[in-house]
Amino acid sequence: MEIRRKFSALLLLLSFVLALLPLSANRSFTVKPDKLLSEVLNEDVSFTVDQVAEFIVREDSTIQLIDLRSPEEFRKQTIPGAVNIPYHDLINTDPDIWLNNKNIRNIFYSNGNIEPDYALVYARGLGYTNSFVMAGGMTEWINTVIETKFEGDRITARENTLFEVRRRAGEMFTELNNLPDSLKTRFLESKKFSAKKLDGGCQ
Amino acid sequence: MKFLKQNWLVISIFLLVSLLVLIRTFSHKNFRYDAVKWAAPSALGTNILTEDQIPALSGDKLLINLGNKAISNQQFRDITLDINPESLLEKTNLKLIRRNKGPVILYSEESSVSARVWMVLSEMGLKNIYILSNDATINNR
Repeated sequence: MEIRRKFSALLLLLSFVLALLPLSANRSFTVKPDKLLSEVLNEDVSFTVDQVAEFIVREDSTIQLIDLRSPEEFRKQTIPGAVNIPYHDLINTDPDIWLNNKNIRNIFYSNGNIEPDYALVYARGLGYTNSFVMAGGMTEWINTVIETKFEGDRITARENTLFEVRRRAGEMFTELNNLPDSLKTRFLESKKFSAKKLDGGCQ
Repeated sequence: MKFLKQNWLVISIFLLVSLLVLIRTFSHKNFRYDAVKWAAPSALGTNILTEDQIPALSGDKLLINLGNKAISNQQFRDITLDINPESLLEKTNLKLIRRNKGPVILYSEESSVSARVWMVLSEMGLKNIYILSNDATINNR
């Protein structure tokens, strides 16, 4: 009887302690600060626009481009295969909806501002180590991939491959963004991010 | 007294758990609870400053140069520290930031470095941390 009473009191006290825990505890960074800092300052967390162009041309299914710009900007100009999750939405909703598939590398980009860098630290801090950024964002994409030009007399095999990837990615980009508004909206709607698609479970 | 003697086990467990919870919650070495709250200024853009806005800030200002970018305003040079971003979380550097009674302003020639460091410091519960920008793209939101 004595033991039972003590055990009950212990459980009661522990539940009291649990009640004091902040409700948002599940949305807190899980890694050590110094580990996270060295991780996000490492160059391995960035992809160049050329690497991203190659992923697009190869239709690599292990990457997910995440456009952090506003829906208006996204509708105006879109990189093929990207989904739109405005930065504000990313941090104000449960990121597990967007980033839960560990088999996919999520690559954040924006207009060349610092939002992808915030998103990178935020996502990695929450334990989504499959998060990356596209260096330079849309600005760099336009300058390097879309406005690519070969100048010179001779081209090496490596340069030729790079140029071909850029040309093909540029064509895909132009095709998508030149679609009439109605078709483009329908296309983007079909590409609209669906958490269910990534869950992989039965519905 | 009798109560304490009878329930010493329960009370000591309770105190231990409470202590651990408090350490975890208020520890300066770890990240704080509620990641959304600490990241909020980044979504609003209220953590970005230009050089012109610095004099209007109250308190002791501390500028941290995370790279090799030279600051144009001469008056800020005396309150600027050069710190390698990778060693920013070392005890002495962190102590300097925490003890500063006023805004801490991060800058670097690479705005991405300042942004990443800002998010780490902010999630550690450090308030009054800003990013210095003269670059139009940084405010392009």
